[in-house]
Amino acid sequence: MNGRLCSSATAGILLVVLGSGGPGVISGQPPGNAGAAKPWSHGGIRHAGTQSGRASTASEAWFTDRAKEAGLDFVHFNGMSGELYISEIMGAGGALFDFDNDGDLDIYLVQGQTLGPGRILDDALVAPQASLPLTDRLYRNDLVVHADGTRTLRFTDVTKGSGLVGRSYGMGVAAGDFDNDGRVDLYRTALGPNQLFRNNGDGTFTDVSDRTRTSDPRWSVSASFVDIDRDGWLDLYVGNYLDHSVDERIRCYTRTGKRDYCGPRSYTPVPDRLYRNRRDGTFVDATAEAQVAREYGPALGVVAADFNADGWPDIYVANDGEPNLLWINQQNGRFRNTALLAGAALNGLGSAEGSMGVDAGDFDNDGDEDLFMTNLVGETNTLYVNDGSGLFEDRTARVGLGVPSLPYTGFGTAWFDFDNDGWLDLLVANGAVRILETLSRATDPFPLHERNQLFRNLGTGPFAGSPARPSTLRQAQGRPEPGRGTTSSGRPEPAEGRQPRWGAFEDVTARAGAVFELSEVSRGAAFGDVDNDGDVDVLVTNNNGPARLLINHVGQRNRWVGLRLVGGPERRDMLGARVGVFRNEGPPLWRRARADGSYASANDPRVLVGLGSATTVPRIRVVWPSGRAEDWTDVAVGRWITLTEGSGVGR
Amino acid sequence: MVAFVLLALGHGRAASVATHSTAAQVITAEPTLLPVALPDLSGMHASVREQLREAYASLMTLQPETGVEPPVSEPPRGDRSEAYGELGKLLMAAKSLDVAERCFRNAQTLAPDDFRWPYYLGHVFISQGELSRAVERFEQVLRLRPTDFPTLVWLGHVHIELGQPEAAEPVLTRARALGPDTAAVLYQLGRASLAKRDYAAAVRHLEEAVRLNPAAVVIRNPLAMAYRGLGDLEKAQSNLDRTRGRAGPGAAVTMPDPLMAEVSTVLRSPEVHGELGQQASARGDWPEAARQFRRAIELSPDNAIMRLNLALTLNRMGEARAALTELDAAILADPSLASAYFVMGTLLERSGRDQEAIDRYAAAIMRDPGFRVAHLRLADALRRIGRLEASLSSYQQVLELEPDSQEARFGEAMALVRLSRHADARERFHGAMSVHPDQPAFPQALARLLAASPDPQVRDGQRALDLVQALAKEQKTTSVAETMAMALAEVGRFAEAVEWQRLAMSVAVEAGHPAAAQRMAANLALYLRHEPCRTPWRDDDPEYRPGPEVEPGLLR
Repeated sequence: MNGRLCSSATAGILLVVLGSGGPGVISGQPPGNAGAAKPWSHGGIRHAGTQSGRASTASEAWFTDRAKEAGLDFVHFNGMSGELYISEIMGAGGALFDFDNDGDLDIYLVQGQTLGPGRILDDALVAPQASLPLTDRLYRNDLVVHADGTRTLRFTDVTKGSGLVGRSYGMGVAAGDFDNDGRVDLYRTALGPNQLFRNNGDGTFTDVSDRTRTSDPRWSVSASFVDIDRDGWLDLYVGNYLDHSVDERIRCYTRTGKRDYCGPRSYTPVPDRLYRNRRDGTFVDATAEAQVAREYGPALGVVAADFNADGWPDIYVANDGEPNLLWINQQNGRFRNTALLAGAALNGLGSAEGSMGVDAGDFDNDGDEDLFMTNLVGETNTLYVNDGSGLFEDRTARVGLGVPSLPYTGFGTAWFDFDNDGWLDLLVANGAVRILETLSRATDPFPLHERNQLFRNLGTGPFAGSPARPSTLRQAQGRPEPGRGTTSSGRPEPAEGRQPRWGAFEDVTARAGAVFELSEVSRGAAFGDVDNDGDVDVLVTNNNGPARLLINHVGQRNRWVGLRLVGGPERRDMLGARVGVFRNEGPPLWRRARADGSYASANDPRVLVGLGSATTVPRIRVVWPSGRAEDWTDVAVGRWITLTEGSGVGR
Repeated sequence: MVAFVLLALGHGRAASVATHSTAAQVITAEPTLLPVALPDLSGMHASVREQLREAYASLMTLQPETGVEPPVSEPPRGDRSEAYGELGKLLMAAKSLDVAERCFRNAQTLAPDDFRWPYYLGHVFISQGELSRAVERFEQVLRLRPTDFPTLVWLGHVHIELGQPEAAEPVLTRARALGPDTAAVLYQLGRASLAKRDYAAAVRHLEEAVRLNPAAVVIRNPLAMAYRGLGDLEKAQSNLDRTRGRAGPGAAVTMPDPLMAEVSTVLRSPEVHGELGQQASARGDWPEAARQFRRAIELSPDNAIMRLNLALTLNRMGEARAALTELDAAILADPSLASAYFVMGTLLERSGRDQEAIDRYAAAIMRDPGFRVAHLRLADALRRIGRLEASLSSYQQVLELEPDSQEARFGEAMALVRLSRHADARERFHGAMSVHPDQPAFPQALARLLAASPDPQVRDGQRALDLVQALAKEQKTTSVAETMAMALAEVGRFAEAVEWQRLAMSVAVEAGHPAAAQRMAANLALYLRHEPCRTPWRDDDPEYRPGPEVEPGLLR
């Protein structure tokens, strides 16, 4: 046990906000909204979502797609007309976010449109299957929790009148409360100007892109709200992809001379952007000052986390076919790319990969942020294991994640503990970017589809000799090493001789349910507990296909604790806050409140921690983005609870 | 359209043949072969379609007749095996891997002692991501040819990818024992050691690999990781620095692999010739590159990209006129190809035809408004010919596209200098220094401006001296020496200014630039007369009046 932990049983104030659905139903909503009951809906699906201890049957599929039954009727339209524009196969993503602050996750889905000069809907090779007009869609979650703990999941399309009108061909979305009003806002990335939508709190949004100066006109896919200067206001990092216009006539061919989609090398990458929040509802373009355009590539995935354990958020950018970037926060408004020396720019072969999606998480439960990214067919997805100081090692092959990914092109992904056993697993949303010969032969109109994959973290890998050298990256960055035990991150310092496990993964796709037998062109994936039943569900977005809502039925077999981490005067989600869940046995489980990562998508900002069979959580520590650390003790499990900055026992 | 032409072979034949053996002709049982289907050939280049059809037809002519009893003479199995193998190679190159697999498996069935077919199968399985099956096939090859070098190396590679570096090492050690070391073996041995965290061994192997193949920059990253593992960050960083911006065909580790080389060159398509042209270009083999691009153009006369690459290659060969002709043809083939206008602009600029170059850059930008380099070249060209306001606008365009562009920041500030807007230029240099604190060009330029600006409101001799003194610790160039002299003169330390100016002149002479030294003499005369300099840059200074840039690279 770390000696710096508060061990008093009375320490901290535990906020357990019970919802109106009866015992065991935790809304996590702010007290002011606690009485705002939603209307009951009829005809929705009912499934056996339960509190922990009420396990679903062993034979039940781990995940089932409930999108259609729940009223999620979104079908993406890519506008393809035979021109094979690279942009038509790169979208689109979706968001899981609670826009109405009623304690459950609503859904935003990004739509495409016709593409190309003079093109109309009739030119599309595949007619739109979604209702017209083709716009992004906002679905309100009208979840009903019955007295017996079962749930009725129902989504209602509330797009009309919401003000969420996309101005250009949509790609992705990021979610965060940029103006600290307690209401989560949306940043929509696009092929064309991006848009920032301010949440008005009454079901409507206002496009404030121009006023906030965030309408980056470049082709963007993923973005991240991150408080880079720890001032309590979310800044915005926008990953930009390529200089591509549908007006150009770039044509690409296979080695046999067949027309095919072009790859990123046919275009010029464009620099990313960093917008610093001015705390007055506007942003300033801080790209040059922050030095984050000094190096750039075709960015597709973005994730922010404190990779070197100095208490400041860093930014990792997955580039398509060029070295990835690890922007280490210099704590003075500037960033420095250390990806090469950190071992996170290239794979073990020394090659840049076609990286698409990315996530950071502590898969080996050693207290640091490891990286996983999805790559092109013929390349493995890549696992970079953090030694605790921001130095990484490509351990993809050793943990068994390499070979299963070789035949697929991965996009959306996340570290998430789908079975709540305390070890972070992986889901990979796949879909090709070059025409697959085998499908093409069958005259498939869109021969890019592939299966998605689920990997289970066995958590039982061999133990490795520790490579941990906490000081090396600091030396490389020319910064002094803080005194031992004084890191502001609050996470445990690596003990001498610590032997981090690197684990092993098992491809469990075949056991995960029929939804994993579908072959689709998946792109985005957003992760969160949609039915508030204590396990992580997944929203998968498909290019030119329907959105899928993968409801988790396996997580309830284990214990869990759900945490919403809020702070500030209006109690917004504190993206970037780290939470350590201390159990009686085993190492503490460190997780992060985040909405970013994956691909073009926004995740549930709440933190759901699988506990395995642990029935108690003696202590929880939260390290807030400000650097402040607080403890809560004797936390009840099987509940969603809200921890508010300032209400715990500070250190 | 030819789709799903199914060539069903062997079904039921084995039993039939076996029952019709005679004493005079011993016919072994016809092995069971897999049905083979040609892929959909539609959309393929005509020459590739023809290749595949020919190979398929050759195979057909070698099939034993069905339904004839007793059978007449059986085609030799060796010929049939070859026919399957040839078709398999074409299909493998065409990425029709499942059909290629069937072809190679049939070839192996017909000629089980021929090592080539399991070798190709191993590669098909690698491409399909089925590495365990690849191991099986490579091990089959080694039973047939225990010393087959490429197989040993590939088997080692596959073991590493499977997370089995321990299994890779003995295989690679066998490869290494076969003859002279190659970078490929040592690279894989290094990777295996790195995977085992045996950093010292990894450094040993990878350093040797670098020595044998210094152009293969992919070796540098694992080598850097090995040095990092040993705690030697300096050597790690030094290796990583050599990887920056060096991706491309020449970056890979190569080894003699005639069988796979055959596959990579077997298809007769414009794209394959284009690839071969790129590879030749990466080797600096310009005549071969031009030959390959010309063959691509023969197969696809309207291929503007190939013509553009041929133009760039011809220019490298010193055939500028032919290059311009090819660029005209490229533009004719695709009038929207911004890169063709851009390259034409660079060639014209290099031959001193500034206005024509400017027109071409503008044409490129009109077709691709996000063409950052075209904006930059246009801005520089405009600055060179004195259209300074227009150049400022172009530099702004660059900065809009790439906020971090050092070239644009510098160019913009220098354009302001030429417009005598020295105070504005000073602010730009200041701003650039905060964004690029490690770029010495900005403090150097600022120091000059502060030391020698004709505008007394701008001059600040002491600040100039501070800046240049800090620079001079690292930057030992004539330009810095001249700036030092300017700053010293501005603060009245003329004797030291004379010394520094003389130093700059002597270095220029030693470096073979006596004319430059002569031009510096004017300032020396000023300092000898105890007069400060009021001309921060001479009119012929390349910073003041930029010359044409180097030529662009090939397009992919």
